[in-house]
Amino acid sequence: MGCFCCAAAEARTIELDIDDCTGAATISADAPRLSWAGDGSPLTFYTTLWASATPAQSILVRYDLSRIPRGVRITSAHWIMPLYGRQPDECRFFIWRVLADWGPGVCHLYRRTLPDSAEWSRPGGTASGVDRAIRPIIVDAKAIRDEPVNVTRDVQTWYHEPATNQGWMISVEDQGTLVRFRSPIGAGRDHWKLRITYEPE
Amino acid sequence: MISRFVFCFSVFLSACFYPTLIAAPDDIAGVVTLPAPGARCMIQSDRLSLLVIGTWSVQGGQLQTYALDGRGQPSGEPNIITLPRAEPLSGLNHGPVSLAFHPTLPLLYAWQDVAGTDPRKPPPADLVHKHLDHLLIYEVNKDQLKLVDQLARGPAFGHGFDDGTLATNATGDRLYLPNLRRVSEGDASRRPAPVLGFASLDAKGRVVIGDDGVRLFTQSTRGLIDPAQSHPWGIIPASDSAVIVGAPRAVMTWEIGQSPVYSYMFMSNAPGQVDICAHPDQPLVFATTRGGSLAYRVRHAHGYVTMVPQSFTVSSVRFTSAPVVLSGRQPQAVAAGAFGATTAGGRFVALMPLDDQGRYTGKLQTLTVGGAVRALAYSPKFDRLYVPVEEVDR
Repeated sequence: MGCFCCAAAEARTIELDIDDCTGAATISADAPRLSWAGDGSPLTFYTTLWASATPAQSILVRYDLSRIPRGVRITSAHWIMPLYGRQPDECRFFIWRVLADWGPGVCHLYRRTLPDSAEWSRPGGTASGVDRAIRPIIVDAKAIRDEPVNVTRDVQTWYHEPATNQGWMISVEDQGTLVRFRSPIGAGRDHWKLRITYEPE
Repeated sequence: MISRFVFCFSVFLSACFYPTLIAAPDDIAGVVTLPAPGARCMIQSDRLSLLVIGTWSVQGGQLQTYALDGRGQPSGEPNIITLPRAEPLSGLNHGPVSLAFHPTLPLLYAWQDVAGTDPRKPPPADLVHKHLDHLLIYEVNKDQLKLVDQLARGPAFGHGFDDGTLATNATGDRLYLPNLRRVSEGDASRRPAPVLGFASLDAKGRVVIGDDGVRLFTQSTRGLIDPAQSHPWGIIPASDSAVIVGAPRAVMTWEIGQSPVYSYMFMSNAPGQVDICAHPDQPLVFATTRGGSLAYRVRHAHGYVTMVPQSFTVSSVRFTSAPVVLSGRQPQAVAAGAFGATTAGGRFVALMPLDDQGRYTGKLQTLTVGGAVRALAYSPKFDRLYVPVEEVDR
């Protein structure tokens, strides 16, 4: 459900949440066929209780931006990410614009298996410039709180070129790092917000 | 048979909204209520033109079979088949837990169990292990059933449950069994751990027997299922390598391999079982929480739960049966037994219409019936929803 409020004269802000998502997943090299290979016991069971990023595991989220009216200018977009924990205390995570289309059956090996199977160019969707963008947004996970990340440029691009909207991948690239978020489809489903402000062009 | 209907339209959305009841007495097309006191399971086959209801009783469990006519209507009175029960088990509550048809052969599989009058105290294990064959195999000839085999006896088969799911796969070479246990050798003090598993079926639909009895393939559930619980609550054998099961608080993918891997999609913060059913044509799973008010639509890809589930609370409803998909009507709908405080009579079938993408539309129809609904069956060919009830108004 989105909230609709006036932030300034003629400017409006909406909040997209997980119900506005066309896809979400946690993919892992340890369970290469699972769409939801989140926290659990490695190599045995995985749950949707949390969504974590590790060197072997990443998170995918894609929002539908069609609720934004046509003919407006997006002035800001912030992704409120429900960060829950991290290890070590000083670490960072990466937000990549996904380039390859993905859908049902997405996992470490495949970007989708329905309606037909299509593999990532590199397992885990890590092929630079093909599976995901060349340059990520790098976030310092300094505090355990809902962390707003400026994603304005990505949202502007997708607004003007909807066909390129394949959402984001959250990953960690440093060995020994774990970043944990509230699950987007569990208890944390009300916490994943994409707050977008726009005004008439 | 004449049933009393109360037809209500309710609008339900997320927890932010409250339902609005608009009572409009009317008949809901295609519902067939059948008297079946003690009904726990039911199954219907368009291919065999047969409906089977399983009932429990201290006097002994039974199968009621109805031949279906050219409109999917039961023709005549049911044929009653008493389930075999050894004398030492008399006096115990007894009946069928789950039913399954072979996908191509005229065979019915029935899983039976016994339970004490106190659900917290199962019957003595030694007694049951010695005398009860859980799996019954019947040859089907119209509404007549002929028992051709009975097997699955011993500690590998949990007892004291009136729930759990039996299912065949699409090729008819596997029979997934409920309530299986793995007994540790040499340590009788350890509680048998719940396992998921299946028996292999031969070309005639018979269970393959090994040197030690039924040849089972089982895999540990890794502590995800409590030994005191029945399991699973719905099985969808989407492929031979990935099966979807209803689990405690979750819809779960069981990836069958050298070592099992589970993808546990939490459905609810509330404890309790999650019942599931499959859409017959789309890669969708519909789930309801038993005794709860949560309903879900989950996508899967070849047995792997995937993407974002659609979920909502059906206010003032508590589900009492596994859901079924009414795929032969427009709009399609999901139906489940339920009780609630806002509908006259309190016990009803909840119908939740779907859009053309198989998503819930947010509307609710309720059909009041006589007594708790523990099972439903549906004919997509004739668009008939079969509801066993404690009694039918005439």
